[in-house]
Amino acid sequence: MRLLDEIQTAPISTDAGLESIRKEIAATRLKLKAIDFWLRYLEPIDYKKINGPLPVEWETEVFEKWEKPYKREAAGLTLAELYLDEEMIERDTLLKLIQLSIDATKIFTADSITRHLATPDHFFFANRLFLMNLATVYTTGFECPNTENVIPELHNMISEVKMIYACFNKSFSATPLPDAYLGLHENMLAFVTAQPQDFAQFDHFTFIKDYVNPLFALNQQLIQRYKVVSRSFNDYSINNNALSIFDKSFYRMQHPKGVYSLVEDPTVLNEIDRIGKLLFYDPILSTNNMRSCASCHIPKQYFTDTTAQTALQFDRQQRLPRNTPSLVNVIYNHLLMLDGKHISLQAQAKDVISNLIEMAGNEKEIVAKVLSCKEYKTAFKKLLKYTPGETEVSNRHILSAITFYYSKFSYSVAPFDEAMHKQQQLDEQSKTGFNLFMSKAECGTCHFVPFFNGVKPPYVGSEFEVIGVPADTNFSRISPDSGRYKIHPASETLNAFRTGTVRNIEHTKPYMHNGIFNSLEAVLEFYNAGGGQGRGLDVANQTLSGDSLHLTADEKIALIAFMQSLNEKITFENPPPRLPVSSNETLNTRKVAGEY
Amino acid sequence: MQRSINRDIDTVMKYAPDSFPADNKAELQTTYHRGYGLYKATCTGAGCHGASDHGRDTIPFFNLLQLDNYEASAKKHDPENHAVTAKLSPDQLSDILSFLFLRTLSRQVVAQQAKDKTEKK
Repeated sequence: MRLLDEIQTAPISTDAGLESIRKEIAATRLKLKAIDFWLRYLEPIDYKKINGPLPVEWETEVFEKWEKPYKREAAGLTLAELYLDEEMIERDTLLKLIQLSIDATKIFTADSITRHLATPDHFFFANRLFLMNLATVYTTGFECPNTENVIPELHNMISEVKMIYACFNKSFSATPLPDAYLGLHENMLAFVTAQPQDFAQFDHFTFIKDYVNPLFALNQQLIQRYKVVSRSFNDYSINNNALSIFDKSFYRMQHPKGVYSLVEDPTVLNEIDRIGKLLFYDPILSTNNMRSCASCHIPKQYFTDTTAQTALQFDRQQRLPRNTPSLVNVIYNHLLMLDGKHISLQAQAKDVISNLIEMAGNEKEIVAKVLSCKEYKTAFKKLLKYTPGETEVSNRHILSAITFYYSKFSYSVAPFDEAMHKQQQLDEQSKTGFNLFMSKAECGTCHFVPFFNGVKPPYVGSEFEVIGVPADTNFSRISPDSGRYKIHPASETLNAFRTGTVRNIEHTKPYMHNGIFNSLEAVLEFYNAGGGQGRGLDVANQTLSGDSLHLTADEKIALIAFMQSLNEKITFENPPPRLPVSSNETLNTRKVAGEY
Repeated sequence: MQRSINRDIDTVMKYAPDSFPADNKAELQTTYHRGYGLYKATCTGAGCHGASDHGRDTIPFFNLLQLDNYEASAKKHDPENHAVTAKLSPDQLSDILSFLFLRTLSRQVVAQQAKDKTEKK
């Protein structure tokens, strides 16, 4: 209410008036952050009205990815603060942003979920979300436009949560937070207190490694020990057995097994993998029997093609409009393709195989051709008993074997993960790079920890960003690819693309949806300049700030060192020596991995 | 059970619009059979929803609201209720629900037919 009064009375046409509103917003934010622990957990959607980062977001949440994207209109403190930077400020607009925020708080009072707080269960899930956000959101400036306030707000949250912990232990003495947890939390507070207030100088790496992640592990152990049960969908996206934020099983991810989902026997899984590998390299899936998955997703090149800006089309004349994305870690995306067109790995694979400009395969013909090979036929027939309800071998079996095969390369860890698990040291330059990634370079606000992709923690949806990628390196015009707009037309989705992962980025050039940049240095230069807007392109809906990041040469080197620490230790396999023989002689001239 | 499935499909098809292509009927049949197979494999364990008893079909006729609610909780990986669905791929879950939906629909169609008959008399 004090903030509303301030907005109503302050002379908003003067700098002094704006400054007094800013101060009041900052004070209100501190109060909000003190109860963020509960607000964000209880109603994450309505929280956007209180402190949403963007005015409009089209969201496809993980649990509702079968539905059309929802339009979420945000309001609250962050947007009000950003509005103060506009040239023309209207008092009514400002008041509306704050009033919507106040109205949203009433939802929390009325919401039925609050009755669940009568048991200890939800506390541990709220705490888990809080800890996760400490590592992923609270320290990056994601929803704190004035970065001077990031660390003071962080300090306030960690300090205030002590009261919540104390109240909890008093109310639920049978399931307490143990001394080990409380002691480590106290140490975390001391660490943050001793750190510089400037978030660019803050040691994000040590903060997460020594405090947040170990606290997260303790909380997960408590969830297991106390047999905590959740009745909130918000809790189901994180695996209760993952004892680290950097565990590859952290989120419930895509289903690589497809129709073979019920198979657990390692021998049977090995057979699916063997067949999947053969199919991945087999051009029999394309109409001309000359193109395989491995033609563009070259396994030893991290399942992408590092040699071409974009791959050849089926006609061998033209080029595809988009760069071949790596298939490593693709299982951690909840929407697939750069425009988020598909929701399952199998649907994605089916699309590529049947796409007329890629492999031009025909579903019925593919099944017939595959089954003309005795090796495939025998294997698939044997596997049929593991797919209840499937009376004959179909395209679903073929697609599932392929997705199962390539997904196995997504479980490896990088030196950065090992450092977070205290299994090895990370060099100082990489640590500096990570700290920059999470602060001054503003990377962590879109490439979220822990997978460093656009999946918003805690795996609630995929972010699509408009960064103004050019059509050419002279920056003469923006890339004509409308991206997400093709799938879901809206002014905010024009030229928007799903944020890719930074893991293995050193090995997956070229970069951007059209493969326009060939080096990490060029990519950094692009971001440093403020994306397309910063390079003078007209990108009306750019989600990236058009201002320069002012990164120094040393900082860019450190950022690249950090990205290199995300190179995963993957053992790639050799291609199969031969392909299964077909009863159709004309098919037996096909080559392993195809011809182009 | 196989005959029962085909009968269900035929019943539903009688009420399908004229524009409904024959290809779709075949697809519907495949989905229905697949859904039944998956249902039998994953939903009929001890103490769960039975599929048959002494050769007779005992799969419950879930109403549409139940199916809708179930779909929502299963898609959200509710571990408390029907943890087995967490293992299923989205397509498989969809097949099971399509099967149950179609089954309920066929019963509604039969009930409607009986009602129409009575009203005619």
